[in-house]
Amino acid sequence: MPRIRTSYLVASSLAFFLLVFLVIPVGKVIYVAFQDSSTGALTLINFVDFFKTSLFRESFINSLYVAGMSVLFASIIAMPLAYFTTRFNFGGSIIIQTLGIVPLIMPPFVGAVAMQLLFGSNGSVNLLLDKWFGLNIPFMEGLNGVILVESIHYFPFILINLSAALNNIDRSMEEAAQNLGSTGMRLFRRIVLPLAMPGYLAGASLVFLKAFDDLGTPLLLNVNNMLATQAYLRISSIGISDPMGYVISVILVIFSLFSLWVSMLASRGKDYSGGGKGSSGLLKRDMRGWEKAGAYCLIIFLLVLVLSPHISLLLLSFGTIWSYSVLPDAFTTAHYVEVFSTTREYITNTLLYAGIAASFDVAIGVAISYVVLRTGVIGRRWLDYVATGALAVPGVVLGIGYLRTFNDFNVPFIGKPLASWWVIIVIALTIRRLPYALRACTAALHQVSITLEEAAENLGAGKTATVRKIIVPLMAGGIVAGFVTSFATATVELSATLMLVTAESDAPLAYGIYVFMQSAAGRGPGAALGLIAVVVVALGSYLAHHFIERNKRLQVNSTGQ
Amino acid sequence: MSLAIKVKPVRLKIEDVHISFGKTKVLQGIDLDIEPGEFFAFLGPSGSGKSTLLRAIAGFGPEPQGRILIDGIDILSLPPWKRDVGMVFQNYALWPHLTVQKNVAFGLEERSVPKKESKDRVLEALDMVGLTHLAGRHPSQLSGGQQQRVALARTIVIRPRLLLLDEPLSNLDANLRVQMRTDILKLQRKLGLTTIFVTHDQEEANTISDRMAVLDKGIIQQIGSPMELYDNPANPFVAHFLGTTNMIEGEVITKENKPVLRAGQDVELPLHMKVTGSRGAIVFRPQSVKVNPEEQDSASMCIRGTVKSREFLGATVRYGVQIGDVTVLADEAHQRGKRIYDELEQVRLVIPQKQIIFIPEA
Repeated sequence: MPRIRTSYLVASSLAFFLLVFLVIPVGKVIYVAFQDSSTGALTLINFVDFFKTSLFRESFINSLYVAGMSVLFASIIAMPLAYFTTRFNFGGSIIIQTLGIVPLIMPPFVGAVAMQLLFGSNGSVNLLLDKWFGLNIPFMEGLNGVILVESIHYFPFILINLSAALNNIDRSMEEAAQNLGSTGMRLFRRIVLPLAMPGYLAGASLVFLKAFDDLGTPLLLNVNNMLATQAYLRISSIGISDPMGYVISVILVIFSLFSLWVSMLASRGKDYSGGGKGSSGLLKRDMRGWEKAGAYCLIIFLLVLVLSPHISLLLLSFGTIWSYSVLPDAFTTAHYVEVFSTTREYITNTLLYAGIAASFDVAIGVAISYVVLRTGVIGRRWLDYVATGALAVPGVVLGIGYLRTFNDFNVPFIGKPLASWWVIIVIALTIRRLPYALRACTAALHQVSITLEEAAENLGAGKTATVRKIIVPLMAGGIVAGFVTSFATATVELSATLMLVTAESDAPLAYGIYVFMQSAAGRGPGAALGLIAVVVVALGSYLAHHFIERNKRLQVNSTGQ
Repeated sequence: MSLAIKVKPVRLKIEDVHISFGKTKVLQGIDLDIEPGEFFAFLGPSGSGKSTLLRAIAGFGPEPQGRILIDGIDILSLPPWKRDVGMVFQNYALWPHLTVQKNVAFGLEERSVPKKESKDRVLEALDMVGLTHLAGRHPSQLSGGQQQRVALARTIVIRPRLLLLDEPLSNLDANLRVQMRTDILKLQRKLGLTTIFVTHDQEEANTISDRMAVLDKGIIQQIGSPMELYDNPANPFVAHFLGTTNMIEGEVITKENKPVLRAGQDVELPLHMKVTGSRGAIVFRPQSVKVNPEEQDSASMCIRGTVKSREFLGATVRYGVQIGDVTVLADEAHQRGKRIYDELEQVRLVIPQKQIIFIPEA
């Protein structure tokens, strides 16, 4: 049976790729963490050392604190917004939807430095507060800065999940409670809140994960006593044999796995959406005059807050000197000219790396989803699990794993270790963004009815012809969406890249932003690079959305549902 | 105090109720008087407004104009949670995060019923629907029929003044539906609750209700007991909606001082009943039509036609017989060895006069 042999061949090549570039490096990191650095024996001594060192204890607590507080503040921002859109007939819903997307198109580290100029102790806001009220609020002092930046950027995860959960609650759930005599806050507490809880938890655990893992933001804000930064600093300053970096990596992976597990448990196990026939969403009512005024005030305040990283980045990129003043002294395009004339390779490298990585991602995504959904290969689900598991591997950890695993592997003809060849950056990006592409491809393939394939086979098309002529064209929308999502997010990936860049000529845009932002003089060009990245990501996100929507319409037409 | 102890059943009056969704009028001029303890059905096709009317009684949907009175007191100003009318939702609306026991106890908790009493009443309600053994389960672990019973228990446990059932059987499979409707009727008789049942299925309404209102396009077409409506439909819609029917429309003319219905070119049928208006229709059921009977009394209508179609339905054979421009359906009870008529065969149809009713054109 040649067909079976082909599917096993494809499945085993996929397994090999995942094994070499995901399982082994991560396994290596975990193994080294449990290994005595001098004797090589298995031990827990490294973990004991970790918790004995006050700096690491502090970093551990700081990371937990930052992640927890980010969840808290993100919830404070997201909850009223979700409530307004789902409970009222509210004209501002479009603003809220925009609010839910805009922060996601810029990773937090890009705007971090610019935020300091706006909210720092000598930033615009504090200068004004001082002038008007004699106040100085430490928005950006130490951990506060990380919390502010993370919660502003990641609250959409809660907003999107919570709104979806609220919208999925069947209206009859609420009506049945009213019919039995319940109303107001009691009804909210006893029925609505528990039903929306899974959605909230799914979002909150993602915020926790993102804030806990983030390397770029604390690095740029010069907050070094956190776990991800410590891992990076240990490896980059002491070297890849220092066990502490590995111990931290294991802790990061454990917490990532834990929050992903919570998120999956929350969103999978409890699908509370109604049985179809009832109308979904809560009972909506019109807002009274003062309610509307209050809601708009709050939304506009949040809009300004959420846009502040973008605004400050824009000001910084066009400003000449911006220091101890509310606004930059004057405006110029010099930074953009500088970026395009001297450091064009950052941009070209990024387009190249992200382009290759995203292409690989969709190719692998199509292959895995096909093997999982359409063949009988034994153990095929594991391809899906392992590839999706990449979500739980923080960039720092993957970077450390590659350094450790591939440092001794010399690439034939190139004459240098794989770990310092630019291709390794592309592979890291591929692995890191594979879950996004895989999810898009799986969703697309799910929508292609198996009868469409059977019809093709019935009319004489072989497996290959069916895949080429029927499946891939029908999946096209999903594939493009997966490509664009992977591409856009790979453009601004920093944490793994930071570990793997060995020569500045090989470095991508995110790395360039990081390097520029290190010095006061480089902030202008850094901001310019950041803005370019934002434009690329925004464009990508828009295209992804466009293709997903178009694909939905196509599917609806072709299946007549 | 037990659930089964009959509280005094209430009378529900609906007076000139109008309901609109925005500019669309969904219900117009609804007048109803439902007797205490009556099992009443709202029957109609989808979009007829039957569910909207039921929901309005519970206090959901757009605010109605008119009056809805329980024992003479208008309840329209009350919010849903103060009305004490128990409703069973079409999709059951069981809360997935609460166990069966907690779902049923919900309404009692809202009424601050003491713990001990609440527990007893929940058990009693679950016992009535035969589900005491599933009290600890979550709704997702129950079958459709079991969910339906929990929804019923959750509603009756609060001893509502009225019981409203919104297409409660539509999500069940055929066998279960028959079983459930018997159970619901038994429960209703036991509790003596004034009950309203919404359905689009005439068989369901026929078997379960004391009286029913047939709705179409937001207007009550006719009110009465199932048999009254079947035998004496007030208009073509009711005639067609309640079972298969033959309807021959035409012009009423007078021939030899007697009224005759002229339907098309060659068909003229003498009318033996009181006739008003210049146009109208005669209506009779297929089972009232005899094909080539051996004897016929003088008070029967006799028509000749050609067999156009034949369907074997098991208990009956249904012939479609062409008479001029119209096709008349005739159901013959089937027995082994009975003479079967083939297509294009000429037959004589005989309909006893008292099985024919005349509906003047509105």
